[in-house]
Amino acid sequence: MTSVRIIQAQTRLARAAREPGGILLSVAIGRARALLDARRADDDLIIDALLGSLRGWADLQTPAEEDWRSLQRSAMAILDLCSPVRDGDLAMASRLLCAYASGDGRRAIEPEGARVFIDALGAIATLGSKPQNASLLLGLSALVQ
Amino acid sequence: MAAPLEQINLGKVTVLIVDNNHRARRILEDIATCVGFGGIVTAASAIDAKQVLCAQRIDLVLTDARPPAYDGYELTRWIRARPLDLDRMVPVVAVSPSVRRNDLRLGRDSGVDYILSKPISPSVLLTRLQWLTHRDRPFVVSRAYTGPDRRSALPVSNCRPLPRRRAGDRPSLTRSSALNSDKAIAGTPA
Repeated sequence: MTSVRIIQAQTRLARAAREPGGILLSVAIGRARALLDARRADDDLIIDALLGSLRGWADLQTPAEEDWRSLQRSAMAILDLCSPVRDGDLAMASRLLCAYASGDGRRAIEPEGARVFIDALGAIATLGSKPQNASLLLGLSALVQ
Repeated sequence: MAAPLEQINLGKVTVLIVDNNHRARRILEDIATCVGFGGIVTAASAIDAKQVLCAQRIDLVLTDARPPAYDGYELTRWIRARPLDLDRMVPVVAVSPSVRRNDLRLGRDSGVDYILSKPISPSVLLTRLQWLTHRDRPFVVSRAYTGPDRRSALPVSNCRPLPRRRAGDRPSLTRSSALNSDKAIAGTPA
């Protein structure tokens, strides 16, 4: 017979966080957003550099396994630095490139396919998040289905 | 008297942030600092994180869960297998670049409390923290699975109820469709 134990106890986190005092959620969110915004310029520079490295990747004729891993790492690094509000489309495209480079999709990964993602990332980074990007993102997601 | 819902007191809480990318770690550290965590400890790998967890009291783990290694999920399984209940019940929030159903299932089955999709937003993280602190989700210990009860995933107890569906609304997201939705997954309960 399988034994299952159910514990109905508060975690240390719950106990501590419910104590009186602390900070209003709205204030905490505002502070965090302000701090992240203040670092935005630096993060944009890093994203530009990462996009530059992706353009270098696009010149590879026959990427080795390590090259694919490096592509995946660069896409993840861009995703990490995207602002969830401002860079929604760039984040989505980076996430799709991550999935494509990992070879998770049903289709085989091809350098030509990766170049499509790289071009799309460059275009989205230049134009910003716009409703017109929707069809582009849809096309990218089809490549990882 | 307990702190009201719109307030959170993390002054006595120590959070462990695990991410092998120093920039991603810095973003989580920034948010944690603004939220007022009493202690912030960082680790660059699951191995380092285990050493920290053995050496000191940690009340919350924020871990990265990147494919293909999914170190964060492996770390969660290790936490859930610890001998003392208080240690194994430490809440774990995973931050993942992937919103694919299989990846999320991996996370859910490892015993994480919530999976947040990258890029992380302060409001989403804080909302999940509020859920973690203001609702008492049963914790299951069994041979097949140890972690928060996966059947009581929706926010209940003191949290505001989810909006009711009205006639004519699109069907609400089912569990499986939620797993495929980027917006829904930003905080999909594991």
